[in-house]
Amino acid sequence: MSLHLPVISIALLLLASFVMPLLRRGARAAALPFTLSVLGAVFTVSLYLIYLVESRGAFSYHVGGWPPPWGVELYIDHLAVYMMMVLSSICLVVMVYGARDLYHEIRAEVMSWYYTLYLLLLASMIGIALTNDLFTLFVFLEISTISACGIISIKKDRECIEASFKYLILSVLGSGCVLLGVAMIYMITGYLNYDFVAQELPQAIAEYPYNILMALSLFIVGFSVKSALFPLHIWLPDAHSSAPSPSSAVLSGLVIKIYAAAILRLLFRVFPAELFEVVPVLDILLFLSVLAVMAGSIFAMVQEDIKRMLAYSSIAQIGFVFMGIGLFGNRALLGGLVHIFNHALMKSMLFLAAGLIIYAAGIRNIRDLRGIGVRMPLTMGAFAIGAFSMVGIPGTNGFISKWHLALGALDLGRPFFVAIILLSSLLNGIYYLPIVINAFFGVKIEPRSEHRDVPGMMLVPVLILAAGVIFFGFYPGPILALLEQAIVL
Amino acid sequence: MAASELWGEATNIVLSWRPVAVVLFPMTAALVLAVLGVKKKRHIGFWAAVAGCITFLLVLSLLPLLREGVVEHRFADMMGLGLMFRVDLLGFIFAFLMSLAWMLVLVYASHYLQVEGFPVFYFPFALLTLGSCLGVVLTGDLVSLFLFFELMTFSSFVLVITRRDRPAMAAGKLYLYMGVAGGLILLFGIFAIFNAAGTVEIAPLMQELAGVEKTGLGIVFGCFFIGFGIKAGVVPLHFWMPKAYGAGPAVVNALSSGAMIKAGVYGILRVLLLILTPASLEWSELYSFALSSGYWVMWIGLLTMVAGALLALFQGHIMRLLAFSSISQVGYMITGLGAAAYLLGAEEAMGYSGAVLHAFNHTLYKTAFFLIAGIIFYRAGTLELGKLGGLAKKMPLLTAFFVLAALGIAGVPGLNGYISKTLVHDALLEAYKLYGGWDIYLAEKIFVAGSALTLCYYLKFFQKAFLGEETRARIRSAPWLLYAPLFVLGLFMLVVGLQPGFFVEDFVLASTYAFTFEPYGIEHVARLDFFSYQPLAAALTVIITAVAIYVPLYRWKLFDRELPAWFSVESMLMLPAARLFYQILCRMGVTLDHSVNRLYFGVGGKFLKFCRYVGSFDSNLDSFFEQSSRKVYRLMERSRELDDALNEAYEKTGSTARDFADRSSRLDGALNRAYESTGRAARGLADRTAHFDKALDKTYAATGRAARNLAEKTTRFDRALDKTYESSSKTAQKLAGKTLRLERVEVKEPAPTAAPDGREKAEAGDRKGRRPAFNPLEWNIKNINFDQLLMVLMLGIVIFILFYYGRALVDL
Repeated sequence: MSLHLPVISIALLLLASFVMPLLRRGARAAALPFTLSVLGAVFTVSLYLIYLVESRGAFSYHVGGWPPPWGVELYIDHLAVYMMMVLSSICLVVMVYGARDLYHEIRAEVMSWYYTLYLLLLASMIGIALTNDLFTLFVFLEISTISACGIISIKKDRECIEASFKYLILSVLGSGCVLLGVAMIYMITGYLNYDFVAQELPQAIAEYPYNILMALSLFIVGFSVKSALFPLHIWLPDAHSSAPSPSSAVLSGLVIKIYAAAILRLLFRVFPAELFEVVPVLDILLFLSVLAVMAGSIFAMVQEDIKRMLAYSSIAQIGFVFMGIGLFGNRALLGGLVHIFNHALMKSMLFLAAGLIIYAAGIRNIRDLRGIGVRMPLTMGAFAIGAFSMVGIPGTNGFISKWHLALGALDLGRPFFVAIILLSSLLNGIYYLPIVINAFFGVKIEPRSEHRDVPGMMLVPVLILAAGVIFFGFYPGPILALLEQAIVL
Repeated sequence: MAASELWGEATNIVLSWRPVAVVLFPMTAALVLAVLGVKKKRHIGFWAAVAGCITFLLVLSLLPLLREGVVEHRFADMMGLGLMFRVDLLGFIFAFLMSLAWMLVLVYASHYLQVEGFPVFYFPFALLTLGSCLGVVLTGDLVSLFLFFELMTFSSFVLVITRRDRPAMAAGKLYLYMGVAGGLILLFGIFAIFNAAGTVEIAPLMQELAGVEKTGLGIVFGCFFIGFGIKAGVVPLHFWMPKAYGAGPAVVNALSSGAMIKAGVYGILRVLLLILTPASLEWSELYSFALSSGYWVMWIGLLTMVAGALLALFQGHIMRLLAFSSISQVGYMITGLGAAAYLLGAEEAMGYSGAVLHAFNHTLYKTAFFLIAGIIFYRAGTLELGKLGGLAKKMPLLTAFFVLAALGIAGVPGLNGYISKTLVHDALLEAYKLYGGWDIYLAEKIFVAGSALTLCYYLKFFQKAFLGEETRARIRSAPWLLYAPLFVLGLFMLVVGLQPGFFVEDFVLASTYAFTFEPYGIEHVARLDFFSYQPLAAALTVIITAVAIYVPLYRWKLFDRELPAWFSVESMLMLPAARLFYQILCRMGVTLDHSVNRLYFGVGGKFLKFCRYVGSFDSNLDSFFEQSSRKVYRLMERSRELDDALNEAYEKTGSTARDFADRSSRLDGALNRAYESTGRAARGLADRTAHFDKALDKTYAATGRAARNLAEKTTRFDRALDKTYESSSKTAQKLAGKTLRLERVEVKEPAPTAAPDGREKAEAGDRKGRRPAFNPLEWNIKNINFDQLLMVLMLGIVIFILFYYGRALVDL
């Protein structure tokens, strides 16, 4: 039974998402508890799977009992359960917040659709994390794209629709690239399953070198559009800043990172290692990540809208994840991967905190945030913790990922990247700290609109995430232990 | 040696929770005060002072443990590497001086702060800063040290901006950014150390670092020096200090100068003399780095000393004068440390003990100075030297304390400053003995000049504030509590000055057990007689030089001149650098943005044009804008057509109604005619019965009335239709420009069955119209073509690179 759990959790999410719109008017009140319990169940399953993988090692699961290469295979290893845990935990916490917040951002009639899309998104992301074959990957990729667009455009205003349209077009182009890449791989090897492809590729290199390189470059471009790696990040600021706050939290915290995890899988499990000695794929990623880290921070500095600033900051932070992949040393990879979790915690918390401020005070402009810390001490306190974590102050989890990334870079004898990491931390300080300072110590300005009370349902998730930021800053042990297993590729 | 009898061996490790308690207690107290302080503003000072005293006692409680050995407590899993508290005697000395300064200042502040209007944040954050300062000196590895160092930066930032006015906020921001930048530079050093040595423990690591080349080590040490030097106020990183001190109240500056800058000195000490030194006494190549870095550190120290003293001479504001004095005093400590590293393997104990003792002494008198300045502000209400004068008569007790502290800082024999200055001075002399050379000779002379300048600016301070014309300011009385800390500090100053042996031997020299110092150098210091001819003569030289500098300056009234604004490191070097940095960043962003925009308008526009050209075969399309305007025009036309259609529809309906009316009137006529004919027939048939005739008459009247009613109703209906048309055509006009979809809705509309129903429908159409229009023409997705182009470009570049390198694959 326990071996069926991964596929059951995906199926449960899919089923739940299809049931949502069927709920009648009277049963709508049940939608939220139902969604939450499904999310909670998936989170519990992910924890159990961690235990299972820790004790028994990685295992693969054949859906419907059909063995690969014909059947769909799920491969549950340390990286997969790590991603699943990150995804389900953040989704659960954000949904608790969204339960209250969404009612003022979107219309009540479409609430059940929101649940549908949200569950569908989670299901597809977990699918991407667990899958072991290229076609399933593509299918889940498409589902995640559509549902991600859905949770942006569900808020019916002009910016949202424009942004999600732009996101849709670019993302679909990205999926197209991935599909082409998959087709090329299939053309050469005749397989879609990762393991079989990996077996075939070393021999195929000699025969079809250009096809493989083409597939590789299509994957890189396709996935970097989806995960908003620097020059292809253009859709992100609009999409993430205009979406409803819970959507922003999930999109910025999780969605862009799952694609990074997917390409990590592809690069290191499918493509032969000798390839990387010849072609500078990792160097391209590294170069782009440095650009992302710097440009994201610089663009964020000049933003006036708080959510837009956070969105640009995400571009810089995804750069760190790719830097970990590009450096390709054990410790650097550890740093990059642990940053997936750390950034998911802090960025979703920051977005939710920003959403709380927008909800309670109706303020989006950074300059108007002066003195808000006195009115909303807990929210801004959480925001301050997130800001410190972004800067990488020790005692927050941001420090842990920077520590490992920087040491990883030094291990490989590349102190330049340490300087980049520290410089970007300084830039983060330059745009995050004034917000905190002004919020707490700035001269108060008269509130323009009346102040709404902050509901506990919305505050608690923010505080939980903030506590997580601190907790994993002091006790990163379990996460790191799990990831150390994961990077033994 | 006497030390080993008093204190435990360095190898003997005592496990205890006490260092953790020492650090966590003030932090917890800060949290409690922050929560309680919201309501009870007045009592918070008292409880903060109590917490300060308890912390001091907790620090003292470490003493019995230190007699057994080095106190340690480890948290194994924390932060990945483990958090380690480790207290040796040196850490204890710094913890002692910090907690002492804090206790006294908090007691003082509990009364003093009423002149500052009881800032809410002061007490909790003062305690938090105390905890983090203690954390800095009580930790045993660099990462934990860094943790507390950063915490100190953030919590002391709140202290710097206690006053919340514009200069305070500006100074605070400068302080914070410098602190964060310094912290990150420090972190770079820690990364490098960890990478090379595999550990961040504060222990001799030179053996592990032997493989690193010298420039690498230089960069690492430079990182540490800058990171800690910013906090310590080393020239040229000092410029935040005068700003922050000038904008802060005395109780903050006393903490900052008396204790916090020592955290920076402590860091430099640990790195220079412990981490970057070899673990064994045997002479080897490993020493060479320490020697050369020590040489440079010594010179930076001398520069700091003289520059600080010179600038202090020209300050007209007491706080700024004291700030520059603090910078100058840090110069002594840095010089001592540099000399110690320079003399490593020989007489290093001399410079070391001078620096450590000077740190302690500086805490004593600089805290006293700031508290005195606070009392002056409390009583006279100003700190401008130009507005003060004749305070000696009005405040004799304060004057006595001032003289005591000034003599202490000037290095007059019998007081504490004399002892530590003599030690640093002797270290320079030893260096001259050992290495010779004109540069060391010059260093010694600069040292004397710096000391003389110190005496000069305190003379100026004394003369301006305490002598001369009496101030016109109203003098308030101050409670005795403000004087109490000064008694304690004065007592300490006298004891150190008169009984130097106790402090030098039992504490400062004993603390060398954590280091690898030459025993005979330690012995040498222990046997030093501070009241012999040579040091006394040196002190006399300083005093004579000071008088020689002071008298002419006083005669020509050169003190009253303030230095021009451009004459500072800040405006000459740092501000332009910061501006340049910011400019580069912003310019880069703006230029990028602009060029992206331009590129879009250029490339995207052309791309679009091209696509349209190919797609529509319409060579008449000049530009995108024209086409879109034509579309809008077309839309307008369509709406006009709609209008016409509506008109027609109305007309049709109207004419139908008119027809109907006509018909009914015709019916009327027909009825009339029928009646007439019937009447005629009836008359013709002969009027048989009057009843029948009357009945007919009635029927006629009723039918006529009904017909008239009908006609009236039709006209009313007509009018209602008219209104409906008007409103719906208005909405249609409004919406036609917006939506295509609406068109369909409205085209269906103009066939209202009844008037109210029609209005409802129009409203429904209106509501639908408010929905976001799915009209791509109106969308402002300006960059989408550009984005796609970018993607194609990226793909092209990646393919190009991969194929370029992939040729090797083909050759395989």
